[in-house]
Amino acid sequence: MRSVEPIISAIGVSKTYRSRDVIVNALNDVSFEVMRGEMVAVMGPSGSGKTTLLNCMSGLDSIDAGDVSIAGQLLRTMSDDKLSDYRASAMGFVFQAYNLLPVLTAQENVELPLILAGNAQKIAREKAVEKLELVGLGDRVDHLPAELSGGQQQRVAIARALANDPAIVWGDEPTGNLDSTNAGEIMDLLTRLNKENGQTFVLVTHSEEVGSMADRVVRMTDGVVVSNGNAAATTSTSISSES
Amino acid sequence: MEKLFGIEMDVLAGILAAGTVSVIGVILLLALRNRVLLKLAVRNIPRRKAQSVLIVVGLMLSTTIIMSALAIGDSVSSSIRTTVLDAVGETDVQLESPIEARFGDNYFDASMVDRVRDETAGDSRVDGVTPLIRETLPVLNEATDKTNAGTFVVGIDTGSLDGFREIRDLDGNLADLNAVDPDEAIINKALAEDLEAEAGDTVTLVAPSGRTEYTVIEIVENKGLAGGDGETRSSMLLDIGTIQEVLHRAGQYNSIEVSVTGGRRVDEQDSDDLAEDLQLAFINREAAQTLFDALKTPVVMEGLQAELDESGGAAAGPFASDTLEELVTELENDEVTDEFLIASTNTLTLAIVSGVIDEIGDPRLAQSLLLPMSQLVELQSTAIKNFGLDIAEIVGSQITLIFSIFGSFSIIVGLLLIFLVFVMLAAARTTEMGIIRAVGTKRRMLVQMFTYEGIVYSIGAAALGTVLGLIASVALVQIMIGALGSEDDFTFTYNVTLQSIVIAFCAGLFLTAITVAFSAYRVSKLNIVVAIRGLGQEFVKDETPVAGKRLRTALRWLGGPITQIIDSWRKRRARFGWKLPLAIGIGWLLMVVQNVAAIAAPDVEDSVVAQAITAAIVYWLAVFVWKVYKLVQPWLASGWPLLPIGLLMALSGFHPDKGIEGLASDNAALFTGGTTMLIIAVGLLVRRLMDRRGYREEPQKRVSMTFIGLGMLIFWALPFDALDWLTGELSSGVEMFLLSGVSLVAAAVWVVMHNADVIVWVVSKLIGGFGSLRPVVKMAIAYPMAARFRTGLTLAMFSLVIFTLMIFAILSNLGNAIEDEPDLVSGGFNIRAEIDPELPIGDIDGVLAASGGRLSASDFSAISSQALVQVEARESDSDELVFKGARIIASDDVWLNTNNFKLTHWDPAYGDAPAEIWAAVAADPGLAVVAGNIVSSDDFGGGEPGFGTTFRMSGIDSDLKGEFEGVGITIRPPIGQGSSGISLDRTVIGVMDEFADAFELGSADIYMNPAVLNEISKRPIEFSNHKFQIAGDQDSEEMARLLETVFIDHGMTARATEEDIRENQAQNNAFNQLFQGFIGLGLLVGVAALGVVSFRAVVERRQSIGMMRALGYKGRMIQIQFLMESGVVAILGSAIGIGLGALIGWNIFNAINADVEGVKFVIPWMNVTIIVLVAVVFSLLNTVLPARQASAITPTEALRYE
Repeated sequence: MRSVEPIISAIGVSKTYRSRDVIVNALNDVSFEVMRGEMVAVMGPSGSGKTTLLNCMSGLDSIDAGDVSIAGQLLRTMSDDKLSDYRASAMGFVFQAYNLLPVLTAQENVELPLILAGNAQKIAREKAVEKLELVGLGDRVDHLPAELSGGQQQRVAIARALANDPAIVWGDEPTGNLDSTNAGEIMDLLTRLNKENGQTFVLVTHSEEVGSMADRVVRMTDGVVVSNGNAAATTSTSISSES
Repeated sequence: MEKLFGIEMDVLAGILAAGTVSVIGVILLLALRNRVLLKLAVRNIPRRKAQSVLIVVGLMLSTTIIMSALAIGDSVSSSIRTTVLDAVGETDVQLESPIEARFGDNYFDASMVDRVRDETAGDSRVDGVTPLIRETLPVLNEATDKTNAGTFVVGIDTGSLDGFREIRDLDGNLADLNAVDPDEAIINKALAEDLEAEAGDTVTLVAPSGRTEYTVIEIVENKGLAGGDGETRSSMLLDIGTIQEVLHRAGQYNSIEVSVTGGRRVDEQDSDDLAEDLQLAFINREAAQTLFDALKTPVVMEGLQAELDESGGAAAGPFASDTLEELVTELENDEVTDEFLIASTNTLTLAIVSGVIDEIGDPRLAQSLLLPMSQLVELQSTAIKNFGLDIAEIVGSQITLIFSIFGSFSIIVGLLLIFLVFVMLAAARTTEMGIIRAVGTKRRMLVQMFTYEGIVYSIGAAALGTVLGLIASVALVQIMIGALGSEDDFTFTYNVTLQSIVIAFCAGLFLTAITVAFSAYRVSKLNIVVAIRGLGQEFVKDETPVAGKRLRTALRWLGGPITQIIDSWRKRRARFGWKLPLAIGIGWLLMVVQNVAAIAAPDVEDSVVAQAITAAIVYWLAVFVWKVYKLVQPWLASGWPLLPIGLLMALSGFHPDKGIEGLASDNAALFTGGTTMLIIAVGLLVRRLMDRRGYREEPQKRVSMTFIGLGMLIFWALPFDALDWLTGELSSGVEMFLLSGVSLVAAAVWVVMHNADVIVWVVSKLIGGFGSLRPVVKMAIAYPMAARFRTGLTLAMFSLVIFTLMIFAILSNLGNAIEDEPDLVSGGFNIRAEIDPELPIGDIDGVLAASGGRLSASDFSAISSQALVQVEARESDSDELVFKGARIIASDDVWLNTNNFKLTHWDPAYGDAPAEIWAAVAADPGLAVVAGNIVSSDDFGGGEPGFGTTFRMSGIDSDLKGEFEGVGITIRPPIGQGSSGISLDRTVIGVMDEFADAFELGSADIYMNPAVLNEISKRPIEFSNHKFQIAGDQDSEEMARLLETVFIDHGMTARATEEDIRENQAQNNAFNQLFQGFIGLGLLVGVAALGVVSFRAVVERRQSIGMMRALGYKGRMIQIQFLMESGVVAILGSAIGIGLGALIGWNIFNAINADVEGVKFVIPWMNVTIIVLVAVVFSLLNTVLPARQASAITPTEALRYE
């Protein structure tokens, strides 16, 4: 399942934010790799650059220096359009605030990436329902986000992220807004999917529980990776013993 | 302008300014008492500068429209005033002989002048009295072969010109009026241009006595004594002695002019008083006493009183005050009073009196009155300048009124935009507001907070709107000036008064502030939890208190001020917020007490204090009625109570002839309002029924709402007279136009929004085929449909604007029938000519033959002759007793047998074709044909038969076109024209259509055989008008000029019909352009609305956009999505507007067509295409910027944004 070939690789990535006169070095010469099929947790205190790392590696944000390549393709060389297409076909995102489109029903939210990828309406609908059933929301397909609980909304977000069976799923605090029961269920779901589908998961999180369920934990402080774990050697038990 | 909607501009401006200041004052006071709210409100403004600017722009548009309408009215009014002042110059009061030239002699001798001088001697109001001769005569310049057949020739008495010397040459120097020798003349600029004459040239005057020549010594401006009259500007000034000699009028004058101290602009009251004083001085007291005695008999008094009761003093018109009432009142006195004298000099009143006398049927009485009536006035005194200025005023306010009516659609749209802006502003701040409420702020405070912020925007918007309105009106007036071109007799200039600016600013601020307060009230009803969680809520339903609580509230407010006092006293433990309400309550109570006292002793009635006191009671009632409404509102909403209310309302709108006695009040607004309520009631009941049957909410809503929408749509789109069989013909005003437009658009949008999914389905099917667009279409539809209220509002605004533009485009194209078919108006004659009656043409062919080859009889296929005679007429078998003004057009056989005017009604006993009817008139002097306006029901002109001073017939139904049986009329010469005792009976056997002979500008023309000329007057009447039909294809304008030259010795003025049509068309076009520009301002509002919605959408959807980008949407796709959202609203709005506009345009056309033959209904596709293109393109342009902004948002930035 897990391959030794890296699907994501970052070399010397730096990112600086300027807010008025304050300059924040969000990422400082960060290098690391994620193997295909791996589930990686990026952890660290607030402001350590976790989310920035995720944004930069997924191509949502630009970088000031260094290089990120995904499946051997350099993001730097891709146009905005190409990146968009790439996101639509090969990536899925799960955010802390769910970020469902409030005007669409659960099913329509999940359909969106499918339609974007050029699927026919009928197929898109079937696949969306299938994904929603996968996350346990087969009976909530026609509900608007406002009519769902937080846990349910996050499941829809996950279903949406998985709609196109992307190679990589990015999660930014996917359980951050949830209680422990819901968070546990979501993490179980994610690990199950990781195991069953062999998709790569990169999760930014505060939660040691989440970290404990990942294959490897990357720790960051002040924009620098302080512990990279070892993809081959690090096991879930060793990570959990860290916590 | 001095008046608007019948209210003095000064007063209106004063009231509005005072209102504005007090409203701002109260708000300021409230704000200072609770500064936290003020801070919260005001600090929001600079927080998002771009948004604040956008809000101000959205808010200012109503003010802009009001300002433009007022400024255009001001400009029209001031331009006419300038024209009037130029024409009458320093003359304020004019005294003329009351006898018309045709029937008698309107010259008088110097003794009259002396009497006027005696009357005005020592009167400080008067600074000059001068006798004149004013005649219209031909003048030619032989050197250039140019003529002006209708020159206004004025003989001036150089010895008495004090007060009238304000005549300047072209360099601006005062002209030397004393130096006019007998062989010299001063001509004005207009005449100089006509004749191509310069100082030193010789000009020839053609008079009945022959030709005389004068050297032009000076050319002066077209002003004052050299200003001509309202119609003709070209003037020539001669010494009085010279003109008296030419006209054989030694020592005689035909006008005495009096100047009131103060130059051109004088105190209008002084003018009126002076005119009245002079009138009193020139009334024959003996005749007045005889008249008084004759009228003061019980039988006449009774008759007059009956007439007064019936007509309500039918003399109402813009200038004829209700003098009949005054006359009757004054007859109660034992002696002749000044008021009686003034009332009895009113010719209209006299006409009514003689009608009443006729009805009494006592020939001796009638005979005894004729003499005193004709001798009553020695000189008719008129405040001529005031008269002209009044016309200017009326035209100006009418124009403003028309612009306001059409503009009110745009103003409504502007107000909707304000509402929309605030709803969106509130939506953007939902979380913030939720938290403010959560920490303990009261709902009332939220309203206050929003109102403070809104007021700041409103003040900025009103100021900016006023400035922009001024700029827009300058541009519009420039368009009008460009289109009208510059003509000597009327110069259109820009003008705006301070009052207008104050009114526009205050009205704009007021309307904006009210809308803001209303919006604030609506948004304050948020649900705290929903708000804090940031869940979408466009509107949260008001929580309805239980019935018992509502009843208690309503009952409590019976107490009015007392309740207010008790309430605020109870709250005294609170730190603040009780003293002011308490004070208000006490003040309110005092006012009410005062008012009750005032009713007991009603002497303070009209004071301002009394008004304020009345306001206190009105406020009390208003609050109470509101609370009662809130009490019954939930029941009303269930539907069934609306049934009886709507039915009652509709029935009370019926015409009394058809409806229930005592209830029916003949009011279209009530009937339509009631019917609309019935439709809504049925719709709501359907919903209830479906609910009982267990249908889900969605289909319930769709069926009932669609029913209501479609019902209203069908009802309001019915032709105007469709329900007349049921209700009777209902009277209505402009409010119906506004009401129907708003109702139709609302109904259409209602239907569309409640069936949006059908449209969505169609659009998806249409565009969805383009694979790559599918995700874009999905989102472009999802957002507008999720925010239905907002989308519906925007759609309504857009539709309303296009609707107005469409109706106007159709209406402005209705009149083109004349252009296509000039014979409709000319009857087949190309040139209309008029000659000086003193210089009749004996032998037309002879004059043509002697023209030296310039013209010959063979140039014309028909030359006809007519005489126009002012008479009075009444329908023989009608209840209408009064003889009213009419004009006989006695025509020779050539005219009667050649004209091809169409007839709308004809008596089949005389033939079926118009030619047969005309031939019958030619053969039988007892027959007549009348102009269309005599039988018109005047749907669009106001007035009805029996009203006003002009002859109308009720015996012929204007709507029932075709065959009818001849109707008898009685004709007599006007009173006091020395032809008493003459009365002729005629049978009307035909009615012409409304366009026929329209350029004769008759208001009541009766066409007859020339035999009438020998019967109607004791003096022979000669033909004075001629119509020419050109044989070949010569240029008719050129021929008209040639005719004027050839017939110069007869003072002929000739006009080509083509020329008139062209000028008419040019004026119409100018007005249309002005109007379209003005309506276009409304379009600006609609486009701005879409822009505002788009800009807001970018801000609101930042996160969603980020997510969509993360999902793989390209920047371009987001951009297309935004453009599509606006495009759908713009296109849908255009479709609704065009459809409904065409429908109402068609209804209006049918209503007009019922009266006027030959009007054509054309949908001006060119205009429509331009309107739609402009609307859609500008909407998209307006969305481009926000769309680009949206597409430029980077996903991480958007997702971080909370």
